[in-house]
Order: sequence, then C-alpha cells, then structure tokens
Amino acid sequence: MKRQFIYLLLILLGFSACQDAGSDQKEVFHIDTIKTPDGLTAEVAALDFLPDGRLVAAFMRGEIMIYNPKTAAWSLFATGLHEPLGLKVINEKEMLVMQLPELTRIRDTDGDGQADDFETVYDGFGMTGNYHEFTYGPVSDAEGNLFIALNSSSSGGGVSPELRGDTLGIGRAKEGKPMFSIVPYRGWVMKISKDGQVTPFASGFRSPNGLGIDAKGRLFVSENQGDWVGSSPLFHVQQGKFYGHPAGLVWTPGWNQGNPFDLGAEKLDSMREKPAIIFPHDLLANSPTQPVLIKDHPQLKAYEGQFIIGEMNKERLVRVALEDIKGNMQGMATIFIEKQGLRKGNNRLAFAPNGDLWVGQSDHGWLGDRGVQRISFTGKVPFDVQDMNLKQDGFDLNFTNAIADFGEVPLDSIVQIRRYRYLYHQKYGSPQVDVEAIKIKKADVKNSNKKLSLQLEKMDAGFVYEFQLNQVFNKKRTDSLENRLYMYTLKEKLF
Amino acid sequence: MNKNYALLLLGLLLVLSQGYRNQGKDEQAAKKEIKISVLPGLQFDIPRFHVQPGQQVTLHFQNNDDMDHNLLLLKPGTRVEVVDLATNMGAKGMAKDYIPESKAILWHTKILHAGQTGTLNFKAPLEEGVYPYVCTLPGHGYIMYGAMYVNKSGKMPSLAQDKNIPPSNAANAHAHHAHQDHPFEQKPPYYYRTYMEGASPAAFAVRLSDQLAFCWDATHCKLRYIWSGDFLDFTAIWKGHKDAKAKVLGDIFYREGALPTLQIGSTAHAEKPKFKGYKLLKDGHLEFRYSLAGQDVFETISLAPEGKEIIRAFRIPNLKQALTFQPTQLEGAGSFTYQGKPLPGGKLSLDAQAGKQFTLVYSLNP
Repeated sequence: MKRQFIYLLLILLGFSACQDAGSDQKEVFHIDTIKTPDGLTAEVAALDFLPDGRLVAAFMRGEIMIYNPKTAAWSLFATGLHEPLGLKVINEKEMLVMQLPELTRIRDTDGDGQADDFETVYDGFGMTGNYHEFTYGPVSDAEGNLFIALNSSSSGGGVSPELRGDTLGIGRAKEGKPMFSIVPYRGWVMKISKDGQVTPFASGFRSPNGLGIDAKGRLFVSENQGDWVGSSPLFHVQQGKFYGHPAGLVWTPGWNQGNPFDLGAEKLDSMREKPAIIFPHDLLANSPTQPVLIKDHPQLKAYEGQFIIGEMNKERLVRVALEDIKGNMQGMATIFIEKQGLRKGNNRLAFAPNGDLWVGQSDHGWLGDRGVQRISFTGKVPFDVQDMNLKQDGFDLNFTNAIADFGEVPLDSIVQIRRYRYLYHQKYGSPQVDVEAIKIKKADVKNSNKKLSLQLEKMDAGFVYEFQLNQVFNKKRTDSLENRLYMYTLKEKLF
Repeated sequence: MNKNYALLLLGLLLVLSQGYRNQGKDEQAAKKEIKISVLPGLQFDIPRFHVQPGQQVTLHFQNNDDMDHNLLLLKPGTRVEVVDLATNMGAKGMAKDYIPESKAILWHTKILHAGQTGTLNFKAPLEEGVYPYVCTLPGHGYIMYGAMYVNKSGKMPSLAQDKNIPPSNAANAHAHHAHQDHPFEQKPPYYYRTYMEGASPAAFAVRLSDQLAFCWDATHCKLRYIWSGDFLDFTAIWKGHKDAKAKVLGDIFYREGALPTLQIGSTAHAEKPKFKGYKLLKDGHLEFRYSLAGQDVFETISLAPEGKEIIRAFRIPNLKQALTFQPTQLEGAGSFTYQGKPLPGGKLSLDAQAGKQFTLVYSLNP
C-alpha cells in the first residue's frame, strides 16, 4: 500500500514537471500535435493546403490524406503512390504530386472525395532503382512555370538490373564514394513550362530536399551536407548555372568534357555558383528541408519576405533573411523555433490560410520523427534580430524592438564575432577552416535604438560571419534575446 | 514531455504489477480464465500466461482481426514442427481448419473468422513446462504464437529474455500483413507504385484478389508478370535509407520480357511507348493509358467475376492500322487466348477495325 502511494506520487510529480516551461517564446507561438489516424505510418512526405483551410498531407507509404482542422477528421484522397515527396494543390479536386517516377496531376473527377484520374505530367528523367533517387517540388513561379529537383543517386546503394532512361557511364567518380548520376538529370533542377515544355534548368545538386520561391519569384533550393557539400546551404538557383556537385554535369546540353569528377576540385570550384546561405553544420542545421515564404502574414510582419526552413536532425526551424546585393542573393540565417514542444524530422512545412504554420515530420531510416504539428502565432513580436544588412566595412543588425543601453558592459562581451569557411571537396562534409575572431572597430546604435551598426576589422568574401550576442535586452528590459547566434554568409562584398 | 509520459507509464506499470502479484497468490485452486485476442501484425495480444499444473482453464480466443485465425495449444518444443505440418497441408488445409495430424496438438479451436470467438476448456497438464500456443494459418505460425507456462512456482523469465515468445519486433508486423500497414482496410483490387523485382524502377503492383497480383511496368508500358499467393512484403523498402524492392511473396506463374507485346502497324515503332497515366475505375481496377506509335492505348487487366480467368482488355479508339499482339513469354505454362482460341503461333493479328477494342483471356486452371 505504502509502495503504491509512492508510485502515485511519482506520477503526480511527472505531471507537475510538464508545466514549468515559461518563456518569452511561449507568448509568441504555441505548438500542438495533431492526432494522426490509427494504422498510419506518419512519415510526412509533403504538405499543402486547400483554399478552405483543410490540410493535404502525403506520406512515404503512398497515402494522400486530407485533414479538417475544424472537425479533427482525416479522410483518404489517394493511395498507392510512390514516395510522394512533393505536393501542390490546384483546388480541392486537383493537385500535382511529385512521386519518385514522375510528376503527376491527380484529380477527383466524380466528386466522391477520392482521386480517380492520374495523369503523368513529366516522367522524362531517368531512374536506376537506387533508394536515394528522391524527387522534390513542384513549386511554381508567377508565370506558372513549375520547378522540380531530382536527387543524385547514392553510393550507399546500387543500381537495379533494369533502368529507366539511357545511361551514360561517366557521371560517376572512379575513386571514393560520392553520389552519382548515370541516368538523365539526376542532380538537376528541371523547369516545366505551362505548355509542358521541359528545360534542364540548373545542375550540381546532391540531395536538394527543399524548393521555395520568394516574393520576387526567385527560386531557392536547399541542399544537404555531404560529398562536395561542406556544410548544408541554400542556393539561389538560376538557369544554366552549376551548384557544385559534379555528377550531374554530364547531362549539361553539349557536355564534352568527359567525366566531370576528373576535372578536379579547383576547376569545378571555378565553375560553380556559391550558396546564398551556408547553415553551419552542428550550429544551425545539419539537414535543412523545405523553405516556406512568410508573405502577408499578420502575426509575422517583422519577418515579411523571409524564409522558414525545416531541420531534420534537431527540434528546430531555421529563419533566413536574404538581401539583394547587386543581383547577388545572400544574407543571415538564425534559429526560428527551437524545442518548445517541436519535434525532430521537420521535413515539410506549409502555412495554412489562417497563418498557422504546419510542420510534417519524417525519419525514414534517418534521424527524425513522425507526425504533424501545428504552430499558431499570437501576434506578439519576439525580441530578435529581424535581419542584417551588409555595409562597406561591416554589418547592420536590425532588431525587432529597440535595444537597451549596454551601460557599463564592454561591447566585446556583448557581441562576439567569428568567421570561418568550408572546404569544397569530394570528402563528406568539411570542418570549419580559417576560423578567427574578428574585432569590432566601431559600434553605433541608430534608428531609435533598433539598429546596431558594426564596423569590422576584416571583411572578406567566402566566409560565414557568425555573431554571438550576449546580454542584449529590449528597451524596457522585459525580454532578453532568446536567440544568440546569427550567421551571415558573405558571398560577395559591397563595392 | 516524452520523459514525463515514460515516468507516468512506469508508475502505472508498477502499480498494475503490484495488483497482479497479489492476484497471483489466490489462483492456486481457482479456475483460470484467459482471454486472448489479436493485435495488428500477426500477434496475440497476450504473449504468455501462467497456470498451475492440473488447473482447470477456460481460454477464450476472440478473433478481432479482419483475417482468419485459429489457436492450437501444443506440447513443449513442438511449435515449428506443427506449423510446418500445417503449411504442408496446402490447399487441403482450409477444410481441416489447418489442424494437421499430430500427437503434439493438445487442444485447438477451429478457424475463426473476423469477430468470432472460440473457447477451449481444459485441465492444464500435470507436467511442468512451456506449452506453446500458435495460429497455424499459412505463414502465421512463424510469428503468431505465445507461451503457456505450467509450473508451481509461477516463475517466468523477464519478458525481454523470454525465448518462448515472439520478438516484439515491428518489422514482423509488416510481413505478410499489408492491410495493417495503412489507416484503412485494403480490399483487392488495389495497387502500389513501388520498386519491384523483374521490372524497371517505374513499376506498378496490382493486387487482383487475395491470391492473384500482377506487375505492370510504366517504362515499357506493359504487363511484366503475374503471380499467385500472398502479395508483397514491404518490410525492407519501408524502412528507408537503403536499397530495397517490394518482395513478391507468391509464385510468379506468367512472365513477359520487356520487348513490346503490342505492335501497331507493320514496322517497329519509331518511338518508345509513352506512359500517360491511369484511371481508377469504379470497381477498383486500373485503366492504364499510354501512347504507342502515336496512338492512345487504354489497357485494363482484371479478374473475371468467377476468379478463374485474367482478362486483358485493350481499347485503341483511333486505331487506323492493323496490329499484332505477341508477348515475349519468358515463363508460364498457360497463355492468352482470343475469342476462346489460342493465338496462332503465339501471335494475334487484328485489322484496324477489330483492333479498336479487343480482349485476351488467360485461363488460370487450363
């Protein structure tokens, strides 16, 4: 009897421990977990919304289900699909689905709530049966062009006896085990115009698990750290450019330079377009996923035009604030949400019409989680660095609220700056190299105390500048900065 | 948050186990009543239980699953032997409730369909030991079993170390159990697009009935093979992060090569066939559509209502040339017939009119 009492006590203690997480972030948003149907393996492959606010979710085992947040009821729209990793709703009876073998237009023609017609929109790319030949997208630009991305094939897997597509043997390294491309357009972003014309758009992708279009119609693609990818980046993708992974170069129209792996790192480095953002590995993101644009969002006005990007390996979402430096996109990345009930495996994101951010989680043999979570924003503006602007000799940090006077605290204990680079090589990932602390020459607080202007001793392109902020408070000292790390990828300097 | 749940669960388990332990002391003389039902993935919900030697036992086995099961209690160490015997009963097994002739079988229920309950009343053996209980429906007995411990001490090894119960392995749950793999019931016909053996990576697997399925290849726009028996094992492919194919569980009894079966016009097609999609018909069958020599072709593969014939139906509404149908049949005793007759020399030739719509039949029991 006595013992049972102790167990009961343990249970009660367990409950009370749940309630002690009070923080400033909690007033900004709250996260709840959506119950998924029994029997569903909720490895979320894709998310989107119907105009009426119902969620459409695709899962790795091939189901597409529709969730009504008002009734908390799930219904089945389609089954049997081949790893449907991308989804774009046209209307409640029509959607585009990116499966491993093709981009498909699926329709409910008889209005019974289930898809009955499956039209192949594009399947003109190759397949080897390799497990890593994932497909991503589609996203569409203002003209209605669709963009999809095709993963390179993994050396962790092999090639089936039967392929789809004519093979070229040269998209594969003779040494080492980088990803390969022996059938057309593996490692490419493809453009599909409204009239169905397909253009190989840009090459050099390893595992581009996320496409997004910004407010000005620019295409951004996230990429995973690995061979030829020192630390996971976000690319601004433009037609005809090469983004660094050599394998897919063989499918460049008119390619006549043999096996691209034989060109060597130096030559390849000169050919490649560098990232708009580098997410420092183990600090910001190890496996970034889908970027979603903050657009006309009443509760997130401070971040209008920025991207939220998922992260697989941590209980985290990342925020990216880009700026256009003479046509060159680059900028700042930081943590958007960390823990607070968020799970790992944040593979897919979608904003509901009402502004809630829905997150779909997956693991599929990797680190991650499963299920669907909803993040609702209260409208409170968090105290944070809104964005950063590159200056001739430093950076401006723009805060969402006025910052308190630093008082007697020395500046170099409040702002610590480091910079580092990542190597471009075939080896899997890169350590940080050329790491050094950067001295602040001058600091000014401007713009009604919302701008911290920093002049730095050294400014060089090719580095990530990392800002660590300590003991920064808002004007009334009610909030301290929850985030501490802000990374600016200095792709190009201002001149 | 998760940690707190774990703590809560731990607390509850401890409270419950206290309760059970107290109960255990009173069970000696009393009649023992055991209720067993079925969990998803071919598992009994109770992996083991304890009775006293000679104790009077009533065992209710409720089949709450949507597939058939039985329950046999066996002499110690005889499970695999009995399961093998049941498996070898083949087509005759059903009529005999998959109960083979064996002295190792102590008590058994008949086949219980979904929702049925079978009750066994028996006096537990006097000889102490671990007596297996098992379902002997084909394939089930290798993972769907449990253990009745008969002894005076009431001792059982810890669950984690008990070799007499199935490893509670989620992977087992997937094997042979496709309909438990989704949040809905799967009734044939249904399909998957997945990586298959003996086909290009753009393959369809279509299950026509509990005993029949085929693989259709979207790269070559054609049937590749038909098999009988269980459908597919997705265990490896659904784990992710590794090369895998959906494993065919039955026997492939008909197979075609990758070469075109359908030839429109007299010369080889200048272009490869182009897959254009498919329609899910009201009865659940798929109507594939593709273009061949510039013509839209619609193809449906279905099972005749009595389940004895496979029907391969083609529509080519705008056909303007003659066509031939000649499968490169790599395996299979039977072959397709047209209007009740075998194809002369394995090749059917139709003029542009007859070719607009035609049907081929494959008899399953020639």
